[in-house]
Formats: sequence, C-alpha cells, structure tokens
Amino acid sequence: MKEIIAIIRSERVEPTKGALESIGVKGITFVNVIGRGRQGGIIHAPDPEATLRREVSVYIMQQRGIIRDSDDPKYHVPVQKEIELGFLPKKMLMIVVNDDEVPLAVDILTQINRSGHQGDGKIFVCPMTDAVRIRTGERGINALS
Amino acid sequence: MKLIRAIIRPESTPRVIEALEKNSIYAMTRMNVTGRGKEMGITQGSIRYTEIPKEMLMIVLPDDAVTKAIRMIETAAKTSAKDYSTAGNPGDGKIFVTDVEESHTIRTGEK
Repeated sequence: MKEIIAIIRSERVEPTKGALESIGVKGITFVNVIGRGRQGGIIHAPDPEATLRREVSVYIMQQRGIIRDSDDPKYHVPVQKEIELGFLPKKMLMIVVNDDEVPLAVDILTQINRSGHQGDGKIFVCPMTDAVRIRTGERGINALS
Repeated sequence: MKLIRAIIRPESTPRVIEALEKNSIYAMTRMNVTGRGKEMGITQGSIRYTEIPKEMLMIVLPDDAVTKAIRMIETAAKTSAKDYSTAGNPGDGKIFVTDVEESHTIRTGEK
C-alpha cells in the first residue's frame, strides 16, 4: 500500500474528486492547508485586486523581489519581504491505494490539476504499512476495498 | 527523500520559518492542528485542557538535508525555560520524519 499526498489548488477539488472516483479511488481526505513552494510564495503583487485573487494572479507575481513578467521598471525594485502573503491557501488530499494503482492515480492527479502555472502543487508518494477499517477490523488491502 | 512533520507552538512558527528561509528552504505546507503530548494537555486547577492548538509544518527534503533541517527547527522552536536551568518547556513540540518514495511536480510532471 502507498499513501499519496497531493497539495493542489482549492478550486480543483471537485474535478479531482470526480476523476479519482472514475478510477475507483473512493476514500479521500481533504485538509485545508496553507503553503508555498520553491518560489517562496507570492511576496508582493502590484495590482491589489490581483493580490486578493492571488491563486489566479500567478502571471504578475513577484518572486523573491524580482518581477518576472512585468515590463514596468517601477516593479523591478526589490521589496522587503511582506511575509504574510508568502503562504497561499491550498487543499491537501490524502489517499491510500494499492501499489499497482499508484502510477494511474498520480497520472490522473497530474492531468486534472495541471494549469501550467506555478502553484499547481506537488504529489508525494509515501509507504503505508497498514490500514484498518474501524467498523469491521479488516486489515491491509481489505480495509481499502 | 524524507517528509518532515514538525508540530510546534503557533507563536514559534515565524521563528522556525525564518530559520529555514536563511538556509533557503522555502517550500513547506502549514496547517493548524490541535493535540497533546505525554503530559496529557495542561491542568489548570481542576480544569484540564486536553486539546492544545499547535501548528504543523510539512517539509519534504532530500535525505542529506534532513539532519540539518531538524537541528534548525529544534533550535528555533525551543523556548527558554523560566529559570534557564534547562532549555525548552513541555509543549515545544515534536518532529517526525517519514519516507517519501516519489515526488511529482504537477505543473511539469517531472519526477
């Protein structure tokens, strides 16, 4: 058994649920988290409205004091970090699947959640040694099916 | 790769994050959790608080960076005792390390 931990955009939760159901993964746990990736999150967005919509304002985001996609030189000044914008709300989903279902599940998760922008998320595959269905006491694979 | 789960005091989170940033570890996931340790919560007179709010940080790192990161989290999350006789107080938190076999970036699909 493997545990798949995926950190995805909040608005992709519904499509992800549907897709996982279609490949037979029914048990899913979602957790509200905040997080950031290699880029260190969004430190400063010049357009305040975009700051509010920060999940979709990737194209104007500033990475660690350098704006990548803005031509306006006034945004090229490195700003002091305003750290509270650095963490973005995300959903973490946890599923436990059989070893042979891992590649399929990872493929599906990647397809559904890919927008091509930074912030799409990460998928981690971890070993899971046992599972118990509390209602019946079934162990291992039986607890999943 | 290893997954580090650090359960720390919410008020020490900024210090921990700053310490990790200094060593260019930016990627992490945070969540609010409640829990208790082997002290079974806090007892104030006749009232026992068994669920204490904490913050959980999840960080995935390559194997060789783990020891250093743990030491950084430890140093930053430890509170000083009132009488300075011993460092740290009950409730400073725990750090757990587990295996991660694969990690995928959704945007590019790279492993």
